[in-house]
Amino acid sequence: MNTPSRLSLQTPAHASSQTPARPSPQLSARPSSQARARLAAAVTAAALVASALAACSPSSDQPPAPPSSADDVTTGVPEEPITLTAAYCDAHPVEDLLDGFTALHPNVTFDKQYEECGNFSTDIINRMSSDSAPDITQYVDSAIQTLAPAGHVLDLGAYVEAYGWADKFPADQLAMLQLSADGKVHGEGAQYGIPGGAAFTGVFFNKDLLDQLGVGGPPSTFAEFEEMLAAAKERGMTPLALGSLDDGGIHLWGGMLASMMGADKAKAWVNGTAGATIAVPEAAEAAAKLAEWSVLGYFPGSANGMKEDDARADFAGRGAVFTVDGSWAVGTVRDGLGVDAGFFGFPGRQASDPASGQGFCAGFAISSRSEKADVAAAFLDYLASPEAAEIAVGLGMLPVNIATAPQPEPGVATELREAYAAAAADGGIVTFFDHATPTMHTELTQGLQGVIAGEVEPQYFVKALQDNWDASKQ
Amino acid sequence: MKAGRRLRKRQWLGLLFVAPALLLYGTFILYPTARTLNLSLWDWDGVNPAVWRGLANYVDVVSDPILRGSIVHALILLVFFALAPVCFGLIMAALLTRHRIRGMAAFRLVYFLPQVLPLIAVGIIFRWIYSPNGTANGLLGWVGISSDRAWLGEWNWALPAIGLIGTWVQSGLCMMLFIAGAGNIHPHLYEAARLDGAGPVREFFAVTLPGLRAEVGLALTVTVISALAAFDLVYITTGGSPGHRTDVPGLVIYQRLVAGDLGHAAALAIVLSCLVAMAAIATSRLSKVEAER
Amino acid sequence: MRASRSERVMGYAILLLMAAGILVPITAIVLAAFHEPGATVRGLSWPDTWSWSNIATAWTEGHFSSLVGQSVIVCLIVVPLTCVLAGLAGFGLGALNTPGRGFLTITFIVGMTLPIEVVIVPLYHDLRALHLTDSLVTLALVESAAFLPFGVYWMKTTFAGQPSELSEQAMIDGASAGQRLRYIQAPLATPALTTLAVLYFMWAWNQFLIVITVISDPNRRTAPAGLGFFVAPHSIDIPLLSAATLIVITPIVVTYAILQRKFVAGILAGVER
Repeated sequence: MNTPSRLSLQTPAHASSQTPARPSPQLSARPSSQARARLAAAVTAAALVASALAACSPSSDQPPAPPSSADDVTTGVPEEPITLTAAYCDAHPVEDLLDGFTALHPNVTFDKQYEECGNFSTDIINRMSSDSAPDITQYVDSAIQTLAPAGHVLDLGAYVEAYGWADKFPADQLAMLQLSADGKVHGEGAQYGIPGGAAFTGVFFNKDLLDQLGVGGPPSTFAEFEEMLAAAKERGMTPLALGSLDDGGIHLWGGMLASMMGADKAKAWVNGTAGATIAVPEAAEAAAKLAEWSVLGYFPGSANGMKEDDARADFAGRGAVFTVDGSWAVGTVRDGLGVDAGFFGFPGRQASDPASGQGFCAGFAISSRSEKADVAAAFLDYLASPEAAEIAVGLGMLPVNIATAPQPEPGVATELREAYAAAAADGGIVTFFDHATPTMHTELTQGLQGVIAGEVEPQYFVKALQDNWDASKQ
Repeated sequence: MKAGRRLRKRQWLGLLFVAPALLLYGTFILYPTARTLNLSLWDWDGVNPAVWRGLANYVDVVSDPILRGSIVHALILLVFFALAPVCFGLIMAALLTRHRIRGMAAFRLVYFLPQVLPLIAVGIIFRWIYSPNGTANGLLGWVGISSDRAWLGEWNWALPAIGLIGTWVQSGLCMMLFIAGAGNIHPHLYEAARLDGAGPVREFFAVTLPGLRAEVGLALTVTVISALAAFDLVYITTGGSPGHRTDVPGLVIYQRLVAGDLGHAAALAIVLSCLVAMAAIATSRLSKVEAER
Repeated sequence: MRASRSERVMGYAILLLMAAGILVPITAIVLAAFHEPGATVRGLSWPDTWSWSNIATAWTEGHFSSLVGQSVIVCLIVVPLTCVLAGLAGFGLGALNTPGRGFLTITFIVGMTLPIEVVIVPLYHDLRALHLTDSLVTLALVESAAFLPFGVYWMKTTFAGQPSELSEQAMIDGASAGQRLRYIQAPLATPALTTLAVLYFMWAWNQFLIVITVISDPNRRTAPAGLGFFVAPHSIDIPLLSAATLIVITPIVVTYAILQRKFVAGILAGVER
């Protein structure tokens, strides 16, 4: 095994004087036994091959069918003590929301199964398809795309009807958690998840530094934004904080593209609608901008070696004028910049363009094997409540439903909320592009790093994205 | 063997002694290996019904730029993980065989230290060294090259940067191995060489190098395997970034496992195993053939 | 042996230079751990004021009390289990005329070159189907299985290389195979077994890929795996990250330092004899 052999030589070297015989990788056997050894090796290999071919095709057990109508399900929470298992990787807001539900219904407790996010998306596939599936799971898009077609995720249709969720949650948010029967198209088919809090990306800026540039308030068009970057560079400031090590600066490129391409076309592609394409001039243009900005030094040359966290810390430490980041960064930015922190949605080409931005919601799904699906559904219903909204907002997340949620304190959080509301009103919230296929995150990250390094042509990058998409939707 | 000839009787009892180890090894290593062989012939996401692909996954390992690239990168790492440390080690052995070294125990303690540290920790140390504010740029500053590069994020430097970590880890092992090996070379050989008027260079090629064949073979086996099957270091330093430039087979196998692309993960794993086996056979044969000469 | 003075000086200079190359990065991270929390540390630098708080913060935030405990449990299972199984199998293959021992030996040798990567794909799925993931016992068993081939081969060679006179005499005296192992050959093999145990401890402590494959909950993993997980959210805070690294490497380095002296003493004794 690789790790053992890393050290295995040390031992013979030390011990050669202790033990008369010195093991070495060579087979120091007699000639006859060597021939026998070869035969043995051949037999081993043959046995391995035979067992490999004899084994039947890999498979897993089949799950039960979902309830078909509202009459088949019960709403509300029963009185007796109940424990639900919940699997998740974002400790916040998930644990907070689970605790919030227990606070309202003390007889319902949760067996909390937390996991590292990196592994969660695979592991949840395995666990949801086993007979010990958790009752509730955090909605991880790539995993649900695999699990739902195989019937391991509960089709919530009956509960949507029974609880009237269509009126309680915004349509945009619900659509993000809908999936076609083959798991390849979002925004249609069955409802597999219910949102518990929303995320939205855009541009954070340092009001103090922007004032020093004397270019006026936040930009209303993309051209203005670029001028401000140039002005900042000229003044010797770092215009944009960018860390593309972990995701290639996906939010910068995605925000740019969503506003250039228009929300509808962008949504069609990320949702997987038949015939949609990202092989449009705007996508290459957005990538070309990234390459151009890299050459112009609008963001640090070390971007490909910096994590998003590093860039955020840099920005919060007043090291850059702008950074493109998500609502989850509000706390860090506010702590670092105080009243100097500002936020605007990614500007379009024209000031009159509809507001848009990338986002997603932290959702929850129920296992089709759960025997306590009614109680789990009651938890999902709780997510529409003002109490749940308050928890999400308290954690710096955007509430699912802005209309019923409490207002945040004035400042950058309010600016973020307003930008989000504007985009939501214009139907401009586009799911993150990396949700398009299960492997799109890697494709985008690695491709964008190439673009930033000036090593991958924008056209080639876009073609690779579309090839990945085509392969996945076949 | 001597005893074996006299005790012709087969001792079936011996199987009992071997059985527990064989059972554990068979359950968790041999059987899974066979399963991997099987999985490599299917397109399976771990949940939905698998689709038979035959050898198509293997074709992809050769034709897909990412899968193939990971193997190419592993071969490049060989230079840093295996070739460089062995060369360093030989040079050291050549320089140090001509006299007795005091304080060898202390040097041994230090030189084996990188072998003992978890590679995850080593990776973390070097992430910091290679960062824009790190020691690597500091050292370059000393020699008059000002740089604020993040070396692990550089398109053309990230892989060599990881490679140098491997050189750092393996060099001490090779040096100690060769110095100890050179100590076992019979002094008469050196005396004879010197009587023939051999200088340090000729002495090295005539006496030291032939005398170290077995050690070189051993060192190559270990370091080559560590390069081909590298995972921890790459996982913690770059994770394959930037732009797949530091992907190695182990990492891609793990990523595909995580992404639910088990067929390709399995096929790449089988190819990796074959490469490692070939390397092991080649290096052990190399040292054996030379030793017989 | 004679060598010129300059050659001698150069030899030591290079040895020292190489030693410095190895020690400087390690020393740098040790020192960095004692800087002020959140300080920017650029390389080898002596802390102005020694701060122990990073260690404490890393210990609690990284859940290292449980992680280190779990590492210890895994080592406590893996080391005895592998040593005993490798010893038994090595005896069976090296000292007894076991039928098929050539084939069995080859089977284990094959395992010495198999990379871990080849088993993680099915292990992950099969262990899930059997509900065996997230268990330290499973982890220890998988690690033991992965480590066994080397140990079996090592012990086989050790037993095969022992002077045959003793065991032959024992056979004539009517001792069973088990008695031979217990009273004659195992005691003789103690140095080899000790070396193997030390090696297994290092491998078990340092293992990473098997751990992250078998155990999903980051808080139920081992110390190095926990360290790998600790990096992501704390990559900016070098003193804190260094402190976590220090926590993980200290047990292994201390053990190494103690037992290395034993090794060196053994080698010196051999040379002097």
